[in-house]
Amino acid sequence: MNGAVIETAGLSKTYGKRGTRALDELEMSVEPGEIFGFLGPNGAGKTTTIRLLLDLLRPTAGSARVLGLDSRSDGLEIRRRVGYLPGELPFGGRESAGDLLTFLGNLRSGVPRESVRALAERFDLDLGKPVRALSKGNKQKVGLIQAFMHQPELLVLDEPSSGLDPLLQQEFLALAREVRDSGHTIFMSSHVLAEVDDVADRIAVLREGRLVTVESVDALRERAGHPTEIRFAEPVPVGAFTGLVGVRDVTVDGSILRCVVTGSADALIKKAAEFTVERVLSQPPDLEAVFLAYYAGPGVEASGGGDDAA
Amino acid sequence: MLRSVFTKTLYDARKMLLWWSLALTGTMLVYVAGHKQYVEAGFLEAEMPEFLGAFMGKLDFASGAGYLNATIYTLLGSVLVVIFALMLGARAIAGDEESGMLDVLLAHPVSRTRFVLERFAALALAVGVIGFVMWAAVSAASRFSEMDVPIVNIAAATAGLTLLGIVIGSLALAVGALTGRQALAAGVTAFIALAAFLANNLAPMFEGLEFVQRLSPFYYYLGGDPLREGFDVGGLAVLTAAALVLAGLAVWGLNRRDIAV
Repeated sequence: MNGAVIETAGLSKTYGKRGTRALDELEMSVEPGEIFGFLGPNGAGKTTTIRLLLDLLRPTAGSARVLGLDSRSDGLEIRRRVGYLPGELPFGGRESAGDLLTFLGNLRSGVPRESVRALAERFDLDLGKPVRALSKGNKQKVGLIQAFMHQPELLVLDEPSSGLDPLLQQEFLALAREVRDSGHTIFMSSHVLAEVDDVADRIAVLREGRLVTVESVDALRERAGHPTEIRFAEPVPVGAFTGLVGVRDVTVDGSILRCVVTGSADALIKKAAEFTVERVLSQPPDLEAVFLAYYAGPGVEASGGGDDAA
Repeated sequence: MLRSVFTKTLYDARKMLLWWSLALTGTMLVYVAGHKQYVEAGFLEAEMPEFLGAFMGKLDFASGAGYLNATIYTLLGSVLVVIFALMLGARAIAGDEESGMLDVLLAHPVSRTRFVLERFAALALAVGVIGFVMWAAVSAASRFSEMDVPIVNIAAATAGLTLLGIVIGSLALAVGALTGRQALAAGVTAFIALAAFLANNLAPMFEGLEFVQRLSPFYYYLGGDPLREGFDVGGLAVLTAAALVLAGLAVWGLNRRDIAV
């Protein structure tokens, strides 16, 4: 398809007559075939945004288009083509998980039994158990299955990994990749970057109802840089290393140099070669630090790496 | 039974329906089948103060129609049917909303209008089943105690009670759809139902307040004396119209607002 899968324009939501602004003029677009991570601390407006997209909430101002359709006037058609996982799963009925999934499938005029069974097997879910007796993690599996089972063009997932153990979390991420590779789009929220940075192509960060940034994960990684530590045979002057290309947050503690390398490490290595190097330790980018800086709010430099935030 | 919101709602209510049917049948049998014995034993001859008549309708316990009217159709049966309908109506929208299930259901391709109407239809059918059970139980028991009340008249009174139940249930459904709060829906509806009951029975006793009786659904249910006169088509039509208006109000109420989680 052409154009954005999700596009919001000035999307705003205020709860109550004089309530707080849960979402403030959100401008965002999600492209077809990408996994889009929607991040922010609890209460940032992630769930509000998701529920606005599905016409469960009505915007105070602005509009949202999903799959090229208006969220308000074409809600029914949108919901036909979207799979939704709510942030909290209410399943408390006496019916079995299988029956609940059959019922929900029937609301979509039927979903192949095979599709449900395959997903249940994959997530290791017993379809015969009553849903009310399921643990939080197992309810989450039921929620994931009902979101994925009709192979929707767009998946809108609110905190998909919550309640899943690490193994199942990996299984979910693998499924998400497969779905993306088949050309479908995934919009998923999380409050933890680590849950999405492996699969997401781009992330948006929301704080207090406002969009702080939208960035590709690669760019984020690039910007975060590699925390690097070099041990020398004897103490080195800090002045020799400040101002090098692609090197920042330089500190020297006796014979140990610590810095963050963004981009090429060439300049740093060549300069270090002037001294006796005993050991070089370079770590993967510390996305969490960049990310936490976004969370912390304005006034905190989103440079990351330098402090011990993570 | 998992095909639609309508069938699933009935399916989920099956145990409640079964238990209420059994309880209702038992109650009807005890009250109605015992009538002959109560008359013979002289239980029903005691003088009743007039104000009690205001609550129980015409106090003519000796005749079958009078006894059924006072004990079953004015009091016990109507209380049971109204409470059943009220419980179903209050949870139809607001119950699922408070549990969070409404969020899941309405994220599927089901319009809110359709959702409310299917829930309303399920409510109407469930109350209809209860009404049918009651008609069958009262009819059978009245034969047993040799009452001279035609089965058609029992059907007429029970049809009125069923529609009254649907009106009360729809009111609870509408308050739930407007507010999303189950306890509020049940409370407001119980209050209005009680007020309507009293208005029907007390208003005629006060000069100038007779018109208040016309506002009560109970008036359109029992005002035509169905146990003696048979079907009161006008009354049943008013009740049907009221239920439909309330269902419309529920549709409007749910469509205009945010769904809570």
